[in-house]
Amino acid sequence: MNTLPHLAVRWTCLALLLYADCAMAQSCSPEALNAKYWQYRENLGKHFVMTDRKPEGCIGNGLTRNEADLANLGCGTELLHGYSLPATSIIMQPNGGSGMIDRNTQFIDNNPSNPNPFFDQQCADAGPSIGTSWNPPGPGHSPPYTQLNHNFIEFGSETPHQLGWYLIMLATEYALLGQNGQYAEQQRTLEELFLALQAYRRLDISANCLVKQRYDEITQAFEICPDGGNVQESCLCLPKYRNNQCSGNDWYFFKECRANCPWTPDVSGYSGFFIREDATQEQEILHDPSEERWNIDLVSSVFAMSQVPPCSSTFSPPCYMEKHTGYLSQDQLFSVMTGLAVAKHYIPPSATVTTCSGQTYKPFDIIQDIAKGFVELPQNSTRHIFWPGSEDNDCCEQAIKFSQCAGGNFQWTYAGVEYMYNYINEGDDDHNIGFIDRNKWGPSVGRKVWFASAMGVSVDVGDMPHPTKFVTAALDSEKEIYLLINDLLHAEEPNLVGEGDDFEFLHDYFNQLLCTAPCGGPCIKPSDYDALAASGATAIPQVIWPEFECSNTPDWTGQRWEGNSGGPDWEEEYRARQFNGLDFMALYNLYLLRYPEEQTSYYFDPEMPDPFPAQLYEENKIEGPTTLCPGQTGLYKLPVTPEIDALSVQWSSSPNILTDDLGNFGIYFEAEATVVSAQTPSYVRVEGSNLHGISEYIHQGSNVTVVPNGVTDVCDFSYTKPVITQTPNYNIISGPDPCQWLFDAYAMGPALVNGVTLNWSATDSNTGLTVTGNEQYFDYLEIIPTDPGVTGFVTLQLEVQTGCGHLEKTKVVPYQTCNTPGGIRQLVISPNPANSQVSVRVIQSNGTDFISNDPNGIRIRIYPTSGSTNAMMNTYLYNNGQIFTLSTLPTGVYQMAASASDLSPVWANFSIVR
Amino acid sequence: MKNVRSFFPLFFIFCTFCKKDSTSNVEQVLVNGAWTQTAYLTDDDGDGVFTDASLPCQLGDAWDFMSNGNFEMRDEIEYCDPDAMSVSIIAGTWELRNGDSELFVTMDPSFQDFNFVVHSINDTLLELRLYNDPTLQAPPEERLVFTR
Repeated sequence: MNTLPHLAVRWTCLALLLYADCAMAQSCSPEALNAKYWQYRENLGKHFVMTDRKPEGCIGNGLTRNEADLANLGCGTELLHGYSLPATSIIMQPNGGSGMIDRNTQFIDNNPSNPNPFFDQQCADAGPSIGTSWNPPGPGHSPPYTQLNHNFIEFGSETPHQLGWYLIMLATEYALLGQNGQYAEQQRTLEELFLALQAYRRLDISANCLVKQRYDEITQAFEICPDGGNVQESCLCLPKYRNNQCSGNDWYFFKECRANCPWTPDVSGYSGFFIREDATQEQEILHDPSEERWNIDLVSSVFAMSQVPPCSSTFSPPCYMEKHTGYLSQDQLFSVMTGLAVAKHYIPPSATVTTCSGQTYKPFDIIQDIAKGFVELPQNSTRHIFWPGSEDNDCCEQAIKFSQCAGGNFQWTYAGVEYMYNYINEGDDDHNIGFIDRNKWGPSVGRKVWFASAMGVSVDVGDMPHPTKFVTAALDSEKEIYLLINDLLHAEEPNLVGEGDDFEFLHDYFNQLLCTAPCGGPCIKPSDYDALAASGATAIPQVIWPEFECSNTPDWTGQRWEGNSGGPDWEEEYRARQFNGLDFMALYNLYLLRYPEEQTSYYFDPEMPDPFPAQLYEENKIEGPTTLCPGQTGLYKLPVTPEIDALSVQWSSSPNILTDDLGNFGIYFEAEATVVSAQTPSYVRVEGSNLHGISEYIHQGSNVTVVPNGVTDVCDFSYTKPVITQTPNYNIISGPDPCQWLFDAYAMGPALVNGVTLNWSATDSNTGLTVTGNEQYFDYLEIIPTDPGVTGFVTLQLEVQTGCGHLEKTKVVPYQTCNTPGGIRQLVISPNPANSQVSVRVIQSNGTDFISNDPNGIRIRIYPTSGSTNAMMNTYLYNNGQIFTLSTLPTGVYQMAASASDLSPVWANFSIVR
Repeated sequence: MKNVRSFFPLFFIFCTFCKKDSTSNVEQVLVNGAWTQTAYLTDDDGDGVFTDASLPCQLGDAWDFMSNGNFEMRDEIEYCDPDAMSVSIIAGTWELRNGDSELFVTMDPSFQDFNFVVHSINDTLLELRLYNDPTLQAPPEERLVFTR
């Protein structure tokens, strides 16, 4: 690890250079970042991912349109193509025809003597949006051409990569929601993750069925090689389907396959062989004309453009997929597997989801089964992916492989797949990584993103023979996120990005990345976009480009964690795009998990807090009465600030409260709320948008012009104020554990919010002492006699008070103190007064150390002498003289209690002075 | 995978020839021409049973320990990447350690350095063994056999 500090210094410098360019960083409070996350999340669900969640709220199986088909799933089954796949981008266009890949091009190179065999505009016609058409209008093509804007949504070749980040985002969101007690929301996220896993399985099934379809086409003599004339053997695909990525002699689909091939497709979804996406025009339902950047009228996908119907041309869909690199490659497999590894870490094996039909699934098992298919697919003598059915010569004259050019050669990367598999399927020891695979993985250090992702998720960097190679691979490729992931998935030392670690500067770096991300989502806009729009507006016929504001914020102009660097190559020609933001969302969640101190008081969707937390962050933004009883009306106000878009402000409330938006009164947005009936929880909510001017980065070649406040960034806000409309019911829960000297009670009911007061009292029948408290948890140990074997009872009283009334509860708790052996013990705390540490001893009357036989050790509790009855520290003493750190406790006077099954409580006072 | 427990006596016979007269002798034998890999055996669970785990393209590879400390491993005869238009070469450096009992090889670029135990060596036969730490997720013991 000696070279790690040097790398840290080097990267600190680079990071500082970046910061110099970050002076325009937006509001970076934990609350602002949290709001941004949920704004991204809403956009993802509305505009980029279509899921199989039914109107009633439950989910389908994510594979088949009809639940009954699941039992007999086959290649004739209607699958839910395109569901739960994250679209890679939305591309801004005056006319979405270019989203049709090669189906909208009549002639190759505009040469009328060279017709494009794939020209067929009808491929665009199955979408649900009415009134759209593609340029140029063709005979028989309807509906007619219009001048509306036509963006298209793209499910590109990198869709599996996005599926991997989608899995990471969902798995980490699942963890955070659980940590914050949002169990209903957590289950919804688990369901969404399950559907994403099912989306992979559907890609796998679809790939198998495409293979079967091509074998059937050959049997039917459809598009067989024209020179053979032998219907019993044909090239697998005609030359016109040559893979776009394979221009040389390394394309093997010209090899011959036989009719009546006996190969059977694997429709388990776990074969490991998959297509990159299976979107159809059905995903056009993500169309949203309310804002021009979301107004899509076409789904651009190779799969969509191969479907018959809506396409009518006679061609081979399986071969068309090959032409446009529609089948898997090793980088796509790596990406999905990275997502599986993170999901495996956060999803418990026992977690289940249940579909609308009552079918129950374990996502963890699906994760492991998918990974098994991946590791077995290239597990052959040359570590290649082959066209299924060709490898054993049953169906083809020889094995037909996906070449290096198509990402089918795993000979240098198979060890990476095995490392990931071994992490995902711990316990399966069938994948020892052999010498040749380990040796060839060495040169793959140069394939930095693959190396960083595979090692980042699968092994503790500290265990690696050359940890610096992982770090270098991650940092050189600007994939710093894998250091964060490695810390989280492999908690063993050394940590990488925590306080005092070699790369602790990444904490600030990640924070800056998150801060600068535009609220509207990552986007890219070429410098000539506005000029094109202006000239189009005056052209005849008029060409209307969508309104599109985009800041080109550094690091957020694409998929931050894709490719060989963190940003696009601006020398290349890029189209205007809005991206799905999964890169931001995955980073945000990982960041919160790694740096919990950066979390807001609660992590929850501000529009779906469930259960209602004790305190909503920024709840005090809304001014107005905390308590409002049935029949009462109150005035609620949100202070006006220059950033708030007045037109966006909307008031709402829980169903038992009626709100009347009174509008903007200069210094306040106001609403009147009337309580119709009592309900817990109740709330008043205000939502809207803040408008921030952020810098716009205009790229012309390598020149960058920065225009301060060039773009208005729209950041959503949602503030919720809990309102007490009744006195909530609480019950007393108390079951003392005498031999652990635990005498406490809990007020079981809703989380305690402002406006509700709890008043506890406990009186002991033996000592006659009384203790009081005001929190949900109530510790009354101090009134219990310390003598062994004493029988008695404690009378507990709980009063709940609100502005709408009060209620009282009483409970009598009998007890018998533990038969702890007698003897005088004394608690010695030194130094006293203390600063940040104390040494604690329990001694006997003769001054010698008391040795407890309690296997748990001696329980040490520290209580404040005023303000609360509850322990501020609850820990164990294992050895006399043990040091306890008190740096989290404020200065003041405290009581310490020591107890064990063989030690009646002994008490001592001490103070902390700083 | 075939069980090769029956090969062990043969190895012991070979070992009678591999007593090293001096350090320089081992080095001289090692650098005196390229070696051709003929076997790759692994014990995957530490039970002492070794199985043939070689890939076809692995056998026939040439390992050349040069006198200047450089090393080349050439993927010859049957290429692991059948698309390859020329011989694939992984280069590195080597050195003998611990009284010539260990052969330390560093590939460039490398994920892992290999500290082989020189189990036997004579003019025509070389057997190298690797004893792997569990964190590598490799077979606990690997044996590579070469001839020339």
